Amino acid sequence: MGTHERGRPTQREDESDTGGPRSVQSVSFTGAWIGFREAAPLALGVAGYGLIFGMLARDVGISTAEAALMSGTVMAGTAQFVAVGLWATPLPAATVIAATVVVNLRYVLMGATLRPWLRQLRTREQYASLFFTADENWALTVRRLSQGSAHGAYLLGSGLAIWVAWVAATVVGAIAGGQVGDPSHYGLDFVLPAVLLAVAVDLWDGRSDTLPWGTAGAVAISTSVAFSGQWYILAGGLAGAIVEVARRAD
Amino acid sequence: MPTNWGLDGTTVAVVLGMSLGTYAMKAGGVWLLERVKVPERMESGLSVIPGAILVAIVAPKIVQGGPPEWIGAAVVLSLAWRTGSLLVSLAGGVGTVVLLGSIV
Repeated sequence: MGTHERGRPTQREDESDTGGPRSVQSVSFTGAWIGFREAAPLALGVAGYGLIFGMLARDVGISTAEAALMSGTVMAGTAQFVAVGLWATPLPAATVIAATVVVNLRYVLMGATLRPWLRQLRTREQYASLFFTADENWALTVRRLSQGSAHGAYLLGSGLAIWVAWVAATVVGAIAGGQVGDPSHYGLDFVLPAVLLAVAVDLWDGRSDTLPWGTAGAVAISTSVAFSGQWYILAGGLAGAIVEVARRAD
Repeated sequence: MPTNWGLDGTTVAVVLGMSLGTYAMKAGGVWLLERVKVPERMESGLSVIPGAILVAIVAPKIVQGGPPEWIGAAVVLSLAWRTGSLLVSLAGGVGTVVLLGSIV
């Protein structure tokens, strides 16, 4: 595929002459299976973190069943690590929930970018799929969108692969406790950055992306140095968007 | 220490609060866009957000890493550019980081 063909999802809506399928296929087993299969290698990295999460949860007194419940219903790695870090007796309920929301603010933006594609699904299917959004399969789905091919159940299927790995690894980590090694020894902590970088190459639309992407990177790096927590993702993403809007307005 | 399968009421309530809060964020973007009309000049901003978010997540991680991560990132970029394959890029990048990590 040539570089010039790499378009962004929202642009594609206006391009009826690209030859690719414009309308999203409905939620189907095939679409879900394609997503599941493509996310399976990334699930390895997710499992590495799941093991650690299970161990840490056990260390702070969260039972195996509770840790599994958290991984199964929250399904947001970073937020869960932050929650475990805040865990204490008595449980600071409001603090834990508020921190979870703040860490996950980035998903508002990420979900919004899937909208051109999701809106062709039934409401129920949209909102069910969104539950399974994680960084890994969001990136995969954005990549699929930019290629013009989109199976309606892709987000759901790829999310299920992540979900199974995350929940299973949480249980194993919680049972095994400290016997699990450090996932960075196996390079598992590099799986997410590697996937995001590869997807970024796919999304690269030419020189016009340099300014917004460069701004996003610079703002994210400086924010991550200046503030603790996850604000840098939101700050970088928004800064990139603002610069682009300002440039187009000129 | 035996595995603890118990469920504590308060813990379950907090976990459910966390899941509701998280889901509100995951679904919130789509929910908002269904109700708010985005002005045309904002659409260009929205269209660069996927790339901008990717860069914003990755850049600090790479910069704060060491030589294995820097070289691993370069390997991923060049493999992705040349092959267009996610799997090849992933394997090359992770392999590089493991290899260099074991040397350093």
